[in-house]
Amino acid sequence: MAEKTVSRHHGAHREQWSGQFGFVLAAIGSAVGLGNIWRFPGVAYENGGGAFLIPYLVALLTAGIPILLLDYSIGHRFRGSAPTSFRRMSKPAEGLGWFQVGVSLVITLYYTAVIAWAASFTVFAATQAWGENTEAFFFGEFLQISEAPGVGLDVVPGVLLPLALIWVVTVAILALGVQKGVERANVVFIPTLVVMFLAIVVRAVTLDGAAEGLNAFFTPDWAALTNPAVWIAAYGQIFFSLSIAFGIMITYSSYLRRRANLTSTGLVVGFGNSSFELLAGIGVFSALGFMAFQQGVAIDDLERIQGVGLAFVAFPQILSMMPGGPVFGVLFFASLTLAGLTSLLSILQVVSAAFQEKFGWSPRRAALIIGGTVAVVSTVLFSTTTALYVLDVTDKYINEVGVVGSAVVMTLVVGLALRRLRELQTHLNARPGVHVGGWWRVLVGLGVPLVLGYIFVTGVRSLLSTPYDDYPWDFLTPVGWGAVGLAVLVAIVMTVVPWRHDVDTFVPQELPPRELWGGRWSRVPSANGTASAPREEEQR
Amino acid sequence: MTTTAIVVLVLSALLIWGGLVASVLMLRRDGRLVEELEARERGEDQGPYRGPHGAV
Repeated sequence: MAEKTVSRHHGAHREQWSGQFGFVLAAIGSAVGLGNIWRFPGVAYENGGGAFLIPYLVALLTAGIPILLLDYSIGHRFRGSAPTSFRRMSKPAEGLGWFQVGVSLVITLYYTAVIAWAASFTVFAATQAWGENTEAFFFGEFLQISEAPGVGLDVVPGVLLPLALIWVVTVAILALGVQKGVERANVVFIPTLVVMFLAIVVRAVTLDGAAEGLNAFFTPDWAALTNPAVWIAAYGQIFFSLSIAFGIMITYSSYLRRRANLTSTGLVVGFGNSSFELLAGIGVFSALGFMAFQQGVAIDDLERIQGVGLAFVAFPQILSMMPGGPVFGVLFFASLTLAGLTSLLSILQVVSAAFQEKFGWSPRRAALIIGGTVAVVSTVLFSTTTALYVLDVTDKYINEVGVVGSAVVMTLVVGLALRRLRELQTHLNARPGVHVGGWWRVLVGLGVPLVLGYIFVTGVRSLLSTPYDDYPWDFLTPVGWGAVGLAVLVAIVMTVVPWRHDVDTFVPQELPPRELWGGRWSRVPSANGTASAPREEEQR
Repeated sequence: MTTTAIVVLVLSALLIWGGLVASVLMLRRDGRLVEELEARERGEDQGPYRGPHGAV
């Protein structure tokens, strides 16, 4: 048996972001994804319009940012990917980390396909290749979707090529490592995305009918606030949109320097993500207002106001009617591509980092072996005529069962079973930044498990009792539950596989004595060079 | 646009985009404090800070 070695993945040799800026951009890039553009506006509109922003902000402050900080504190304190970090907290918890890796693995399989569609539409937009009937073009000519749901292997060459291309780009970026690959890509992609999207929004709000669209989006239905389903929708939106609780932010924060600020960073990422969502809401509903104006109908009468239908059917229609449509079409679909790509990089980094640490692989080796394998499976499964059906069902199940379940288990394990919240709170406070009080432990240990537990139970009950979107059970069960089962299988198998190096010798950063935990001990020492009490406690 | 919709838009923008601006300012302030700490550590310590068990 090969001798175990000390890992190069922790301690002084661990990869790091070049600085706080690179990390913030990468974390925002991860959070800002396709859902910000095509999910938030529709969810807000259907759940009270302007009034929805109240539960949305409450959810951001009471669940989104607190779980974000939980992820940050775990990854930064235990300096590893999700399996490494959870194992260092408690050996039996390693399986939870691998479950998160499994969930990420499943998401990468289909998420890449949507990015490939967006990349293809960036090219189509230049000539408005979709013609008059955008629905027939997308579902028929482009996806060549089969008549009945199923899992087929009839490849669509027009999807295969862009999908393979996106995979080559993604694997190449990952192979360069955290700083030279993921960080540099985000430093270029995120500002580009913001500039392009701003240009689209400015154009959209100046279109005829935009005011009516914004009226529909912002006019509050105050009665909606008394509906619990609206609050659940707000928590769900914040939760799915922030890329939390399935390993991404744990992995990303593990590459931060020891002294790096965590709490202010969490606020920037949380508000940055919501800022982009608000911008997307303004842009999307201005464009929908224009569409309704052109067709002489009310916004209420429009059918495709979110999801794949909004992006690939409604928007091409809008672009065909819009002056300067080809230019803004290219900008819109390029924005979708970049938003998706930066999120994909973060999801695949979860998988890559976990395998790097388990087997002592280099980033390049992990990218080639893991990225290459996932790329082949993804390309085979999602360049076929049944791709849309498989994608739709996999996305539904892995999010509602896998991601939400992972969050509930994580908060229960860390907060109740291992009782590590006070330690993590102290770790957050052990560096300059916004002070995290006891409220954080209450929210993460009690509030979040209750709300997300409710979302999880109602989601699972619904999936078990009513066929999702009228798909047949013999398709839903193997594909939907199969996707969840794959994540569970990854968790079991990879937890059993032995580590190739001594992961357990790691010692986390020393904290002050327990009697100071949770206190305001973390303030920076005075400028005259004499360390204040907190610093002395840390040195002790 | 109706007055109500404009008011909600402005309030949302103030809260969300204002929250972003405020948190960026806080991050910049905290970033400077981190740099100050690290500079002081480099001056005070011989090499990186280590805990009693060798933690880095």
